[in-house]
Amino acid sequence: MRSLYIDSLRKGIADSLANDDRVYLLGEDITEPYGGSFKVTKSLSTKFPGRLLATPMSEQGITGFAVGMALGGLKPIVEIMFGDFLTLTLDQLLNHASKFVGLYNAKMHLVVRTPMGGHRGYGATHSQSIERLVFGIPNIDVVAPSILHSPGHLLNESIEKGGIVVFIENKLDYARNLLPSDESENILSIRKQQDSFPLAISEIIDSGESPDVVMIAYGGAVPFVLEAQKELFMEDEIAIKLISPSRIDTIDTQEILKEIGSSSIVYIAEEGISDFGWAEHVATLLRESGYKGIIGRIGSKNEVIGASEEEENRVLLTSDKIKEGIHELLGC
Amino acid sequence: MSSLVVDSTVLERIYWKMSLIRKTEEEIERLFSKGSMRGTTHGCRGQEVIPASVLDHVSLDLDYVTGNHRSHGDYLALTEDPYGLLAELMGLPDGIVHGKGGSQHIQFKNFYTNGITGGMVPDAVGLAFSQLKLTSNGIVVALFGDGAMNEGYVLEALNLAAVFSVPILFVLENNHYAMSTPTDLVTRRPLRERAEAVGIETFYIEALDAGEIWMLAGNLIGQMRTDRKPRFIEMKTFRFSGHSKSDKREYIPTEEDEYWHKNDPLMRLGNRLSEDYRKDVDFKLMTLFQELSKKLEGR
Repeated sequence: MRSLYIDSLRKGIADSLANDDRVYLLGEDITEPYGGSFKVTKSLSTKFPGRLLATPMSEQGITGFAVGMALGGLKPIVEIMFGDFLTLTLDQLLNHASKFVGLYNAKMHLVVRTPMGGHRGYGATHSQSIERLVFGIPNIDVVAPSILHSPGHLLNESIEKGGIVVFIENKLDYARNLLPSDESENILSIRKQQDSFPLAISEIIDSGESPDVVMIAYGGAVPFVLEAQKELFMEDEIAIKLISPSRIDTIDTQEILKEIGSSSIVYIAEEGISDFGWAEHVATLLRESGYKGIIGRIGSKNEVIGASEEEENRVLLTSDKIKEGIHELLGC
Repeated sequence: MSSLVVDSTVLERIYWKMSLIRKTEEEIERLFSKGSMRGTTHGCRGQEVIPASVLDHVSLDLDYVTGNHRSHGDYLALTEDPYGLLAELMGLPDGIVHGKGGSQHIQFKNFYTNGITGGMVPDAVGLAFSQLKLTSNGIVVALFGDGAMNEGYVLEALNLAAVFSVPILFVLENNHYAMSTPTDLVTRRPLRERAEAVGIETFYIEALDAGEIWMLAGNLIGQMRTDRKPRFIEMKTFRFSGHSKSDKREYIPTEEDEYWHKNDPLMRLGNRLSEDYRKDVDFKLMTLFQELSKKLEGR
């Protein structure tokens, strides 16, 4: 059955609203008839009157407003229209919410959701993947579903579990099918390692013993890896296993090492700028945990993202660049 | 408009709280100069009348109060607990935030402060939204200064309060200096006009007379418990202490300092009360701080 990422997300929000009347959704342009810039909240303001708050364009104000709602016992989900605008929420996340938990032991349920990612020609300020800004902040969890996960379920879990969650979505993923779906994946086997914030695993069916390369990627980088995974197998019989965590601010090194098994090459991908990035951190953790194999990593260039397709492809992560990187690692 | 009466019980209670705040701030200044406290502190001597009068109308079991970096007085007005505050500033486990917060990061029940200028104000509006949804009469009081009025935070928060129509009393303590910068130098129109501009009912008072402030705040809070709408009061006030502990106040003209010291709200209120009552308060404070000193020095 076809199941779109955006539908899963919308259902997750609807379930959260239906299950707990303390849940509210706030953001710009999220109510009918517009239904959100990417239509994630389409029809929800009609189904749940009074529970979607249409706000002015005041990202730092509405994030603070949501922090206050959460301190007061409500469970707000804030939509920040573009991930690039996360900059405007940072002071509330870093200097307020994080501190209230750390200093005052505040019990809060707060989710800030926002879409990252390029390849849509939106230009320099609407195409970035800047979730790195919220890594390494005490008491802030970062969750990033991919098309291998159930985004709605992860969202529901994020608001229910308590604490502060920055929930990273991806613009291209909205229109994609979740995997596995019935019409695809006759070469990939997909599974999740646990119910709660799982690692999702995509493997080549019947690839024999251990894969040639194990890749680690999250969120919007996953479809690029999946494409490379299929093409490399069909073109060159290179078997790649992909591990995709859903919680990205903390790395379950032991689980990942278990999945890596005896593979001697790990390749870590992200759509964010690779300098000082997520992949670098994961690589360090693997090394510190005793992994002895080769570790490579790939991401976007440390440059401003241009609006043209050529510039996007030059600067951002693509499946071709992943394939090229793997060929280099394998020396073939 | 209401049944509130400023009688001698009310004035005596406010005088007690104001005196307690002043004495505690003096004690903090003493402990700092003695080296018993680390870091920094932001005193509120001169402004005691505002928390003592306004917060007399709130209950931390129902209402929320948000403060700022200069909130010793707010805490004391709400709790009358100098030990918890002093222990906090000394970094002791007995402090209200177990010694982790220091001067600017204080929390007790529904009272929250933070060290980012203006940042608590949108949070307070969100708290007021939760009050609207989860209680029938709970309100929020947000206290902040003239410096915060120039942060985007406050401008956004005022608009959000008007748009979502939530029960919050904004209390602008305009002491005319954002750290050392005269507010008149960096703004052009009266600050309260910004609240008026977004459609919030706005009031102005020179914060000299405790009874007058108590009455105004009490009436507004009383109305807000029923109509659940925001209000804004700008209070003209003055701090006798520096912005923070190392500030020598060189930027304050002598005449201005003299005017406010001549009109010290604590002294003015004291003059309306009997000498016996004032002596009682002095004696009570002396005894209390002797005990506190022993308790704290033993730590």
